[in-house]
Amino acid sequence: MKTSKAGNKEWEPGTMRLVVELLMNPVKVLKSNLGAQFTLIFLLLAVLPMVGVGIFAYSTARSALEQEVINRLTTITLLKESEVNRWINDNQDLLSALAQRPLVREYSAELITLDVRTDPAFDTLRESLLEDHFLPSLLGSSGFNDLMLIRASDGLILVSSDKSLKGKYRESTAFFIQGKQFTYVQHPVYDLSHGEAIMHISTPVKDSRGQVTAVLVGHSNLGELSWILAQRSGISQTEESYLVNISNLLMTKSRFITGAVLVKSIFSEGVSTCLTGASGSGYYDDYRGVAVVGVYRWMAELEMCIITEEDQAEAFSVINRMSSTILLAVVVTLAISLVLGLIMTRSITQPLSQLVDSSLEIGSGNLDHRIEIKGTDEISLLAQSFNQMAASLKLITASRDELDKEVTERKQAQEELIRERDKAQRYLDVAGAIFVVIDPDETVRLINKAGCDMLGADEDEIIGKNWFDNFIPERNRSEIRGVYKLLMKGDIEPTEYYENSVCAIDGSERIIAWHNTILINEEGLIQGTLSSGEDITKRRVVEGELSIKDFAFESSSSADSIGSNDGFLTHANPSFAKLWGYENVDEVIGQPILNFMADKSEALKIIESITKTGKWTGEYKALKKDGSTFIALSYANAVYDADGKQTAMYSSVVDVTERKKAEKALRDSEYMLRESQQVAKVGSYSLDIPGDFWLGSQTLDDVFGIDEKYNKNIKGWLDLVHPEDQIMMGDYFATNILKNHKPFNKEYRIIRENDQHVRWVHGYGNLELNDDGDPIKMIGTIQDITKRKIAEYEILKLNEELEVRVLQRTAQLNAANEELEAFAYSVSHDLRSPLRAIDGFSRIIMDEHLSDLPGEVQRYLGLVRDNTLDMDKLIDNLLAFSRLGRQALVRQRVFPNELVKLALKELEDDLAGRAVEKTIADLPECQADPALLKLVYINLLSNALKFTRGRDPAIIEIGCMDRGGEQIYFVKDNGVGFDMQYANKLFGVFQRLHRTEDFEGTGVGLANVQRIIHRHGGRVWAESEVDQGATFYFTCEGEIKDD
Amino acid sequence: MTENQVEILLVEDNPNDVELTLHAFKSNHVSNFIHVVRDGAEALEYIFCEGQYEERKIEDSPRLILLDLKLPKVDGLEVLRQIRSDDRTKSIPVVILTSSDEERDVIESYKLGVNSYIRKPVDFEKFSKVVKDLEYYWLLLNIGPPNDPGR
Repeated sequence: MKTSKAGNKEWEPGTMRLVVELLMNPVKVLKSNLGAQFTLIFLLLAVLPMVGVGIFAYSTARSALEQEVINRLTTITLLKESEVNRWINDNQDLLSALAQRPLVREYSAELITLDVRTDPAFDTLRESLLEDHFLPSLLGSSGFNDLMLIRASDGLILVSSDKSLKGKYRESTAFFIQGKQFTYVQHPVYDLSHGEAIMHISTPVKDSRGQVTAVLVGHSNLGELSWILAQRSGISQTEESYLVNISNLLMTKSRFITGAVLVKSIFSEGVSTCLTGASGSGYYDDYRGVAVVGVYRWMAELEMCIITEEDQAEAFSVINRMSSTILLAVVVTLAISLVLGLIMTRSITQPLSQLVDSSLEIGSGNLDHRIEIKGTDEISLLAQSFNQMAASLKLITASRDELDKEVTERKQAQEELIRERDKAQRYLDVAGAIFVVIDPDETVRLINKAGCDMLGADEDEIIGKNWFDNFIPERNRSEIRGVYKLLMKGDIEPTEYYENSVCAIDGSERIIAWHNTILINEEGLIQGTLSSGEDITKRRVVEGELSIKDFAFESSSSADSIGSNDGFLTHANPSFAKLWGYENVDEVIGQPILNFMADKSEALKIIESITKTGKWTGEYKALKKDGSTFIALSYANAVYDADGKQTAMYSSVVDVTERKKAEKALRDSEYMLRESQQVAKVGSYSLDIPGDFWLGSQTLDDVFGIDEKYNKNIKGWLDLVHPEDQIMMGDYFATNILKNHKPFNKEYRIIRENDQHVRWVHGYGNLELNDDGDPIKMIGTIQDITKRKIAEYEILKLNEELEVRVLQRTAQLNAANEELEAFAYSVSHDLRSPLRAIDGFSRIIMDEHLSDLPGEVQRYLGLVRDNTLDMDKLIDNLLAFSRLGRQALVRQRVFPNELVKLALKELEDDLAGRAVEKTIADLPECQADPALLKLVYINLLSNALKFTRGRDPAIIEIGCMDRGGEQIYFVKDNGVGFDMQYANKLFGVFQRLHRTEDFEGTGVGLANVQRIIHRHGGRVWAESEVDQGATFYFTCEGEIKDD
Repeated sequence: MTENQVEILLVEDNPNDVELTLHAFKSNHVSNFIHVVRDGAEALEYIFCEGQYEERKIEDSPRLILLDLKLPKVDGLEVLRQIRSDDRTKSIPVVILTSSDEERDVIESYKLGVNSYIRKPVDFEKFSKVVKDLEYYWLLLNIGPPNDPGR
């Protein structure tokens, strides 16, 4: 051991580190470390055979021992079984012998003939039977505790060694019924009266003629059976035998539990298997929960199991000791081989790991590193080769570096070249000018971007094409080509400046001003032309047209002007200056455009419209130099350059003031009148009374349904009147108008001439009197009011119907309300009695029988009582709700602040121990029932307190706001709130929006609030968002109603 | 007080309430003699010694009558009215013990001269307490009228 310790120290710390790493990450270490692999192989070689041998030895020994134990237990079981059987047989024999004794048979035959109650001979006979035959038998070697004789005819116990049974009947017992026929062994049962397991054996007693007179019954309490089973073989300390019946009940005394006979139910694996009728053995937990080896046998005749068990701990103690020994040996071997393995592998792996370190050094770039060579073995040779390799590597690396440098330089030069080329191309493209290079064979060799744009084609579509055939208009083609050919021959010098048309791909033509250069190569040969050109098309067009336009502008009779984009007048013609009241054109140019318009904001809109849409036509109010205004009709448009960019605004104006005035005058007069008459169906007339004729408007003809040919006099008018109204209207006209000179103002019916429809009209007229006071003329209107009349009638009818319906509904509603209240009242009362009974009896059970009840039952009873009391609360609330509907409303002037104070006082209990921030505004007074309004506040505040329970602090705001003269009171909180989609349920009776576990309550509070507010004729509603608090609003003034 | 004088007359039709009330009395160990009648008519017969109770003497009146309101045949208010309108019985303490606490019932009972009006609590603990208090007050603490017959 000493050397091993010394060795340990020498390995520090490398070996220890290896071991630690091996424990931390075994796979990684094993894959990368040769030493660990060697050690592992050592371990496996040493331990595997050891373990194999150990397991084999253990399992062989164990199975032998198991067999031995089971054999022993089986022997014991069989022995006990036969003893039990013999005990029963002995008792059977004893009983049969007794029943066949001549004297017993004779006494028995005689006993059944005697009257039990009256005959004195009966007692004598019974005594002698008992004394002479039964008691001696019991004293002998029998297993019976008692003997009795039962009368066969009716089951009366005639004689019994147990005096208490005298005079009793056993007519329905199995032992009596079966015992009348043969000797019967009854399976052991639990005797309630004795509180013990008993067993009966019965046998018939026959008289001399072979008739069954009585049944002889032996009664045993199984004490002897228990004794038989309790006898132990003595080999084992924990061995036990017992009987179990088919109800899983223990039939004989337990060694371990006293008083278990016929009380203890056994459900061990052995018993369960055996009760299926099987016999065998097994390993399982017995009724104590201890692991045992058990042997069981099914005793079919007795319908019982006989079981013999021994604790596994004892039975297998030998084998367990053996397994610990084997385990110890394995551990020791493991430790020794680990030490040996480490020593062996170290001597092999150390030089190798040195080699690995060196190669890593060389790999990381240190080519000058060399390995120290010791010895001449294979590893040393390997190290030597390594050093040679490092030397040649160094040489190769040096030459490669030079090559790299050269390549880099070349790459840089090339990139420089590309950059230069790109720069040139960019210059070519950026220049506004067009560049074209044409080869001597007339094809295009190069064209820049401006050139492509001009021709409307891509570079690819142009390069390589014949320039003259494709891009010069046909009319100029031969001429220009001729010039070019001469150029190529060198016959002429290129002209500095040359203009010609060019034809784009889409056929349009542009005028280009060219500057040509001949390209000559190093040998002096002509290589084509380089032409730079400028598009002068626009310039040409503008130049050509400008002079004509100038003239038109200056001499126009309309007031024309041009304004710049930034809003200043740049051009104006003499008409413009004149119209605006200026001396000359120079006076107006340079002024802001806005100076010429009266309404600046309108002006800005017009300018914006021109800029946006390109034109504007309309009228505006123009402002003259002297401050007066006129209506200008303007045609304005934007002026664009060739690129579509707005360069100026042009406007041409005509003064339309006079025309406007004329139009307006026209509209104001007759036109308006006609329009309005038509729209309102008002016809006008002028009645010449002395001449008896009237003139009417077109609309009047339409109202009457007549045309110009109609007889337009007073009779003609009266003919139009509805026959039923004719007399009345005739009277009215004669009396009211002609006689009393009053204005005509009457609604009456007519029958329209053209379609014979009945129409209502309203006639209105004023009389003109002559100097003598006689009416001469009436001027007035007649309006068709049929639609209004129909509407009036409809409304009248609807109102009547509505009133009837309201009456009916009110009656129904009142009846329903009365019924509902009667129902609520009676339900509340009748429900209380059963509740009281439930609660009362539950309470009595809990008070007086608590100890008899399992904990669960106690809890259930508690729940029953809780629920009963909850129900009581519900009924209280229901009653209060029903009362609110019946209570009379006493309205008076109330100050809600006082009610809030009282309500908060009542809620003191709820407020106690809570952090609540209350804000109470000055609440305006109102007309209400103070008791009921206080109830409203109690309910709303108690709600607010309830639903802010989790808030710290809870914030409750009590206030009021004015909405169009209506006072809206509110109570606001920062509680859990509710989902607005359920807001309609909020005020219903027993409606709850939260679970009872979260917030208690019966769902009547808000129903009460609504009922009270509705009775006051007010409204109540709520607003909320989940988790954002809730606000309840109410008003309390309005039309009083009883709901 | 004679040996068999009934101390409390319980007028109650609901058998459950009868049992619960008797149970509450029993646990208080105060009064020994409680007679139960099951409707208003029987109560009147008992109090006025008529019908099946004609052998009783009217002087042996109970020391306390516990009266339910909702009763078969003759209702509690009627029973009370008759007790109060007879000189021989009008001084017997009567306590209404009922499920109803309707205001009109309460008012009517007091108008008829009831000594106390108690609503039976559903909570049995409270109920027992009420019964106990009733018993202590009316049988032990309360001093009856001096010339009460049979006392």
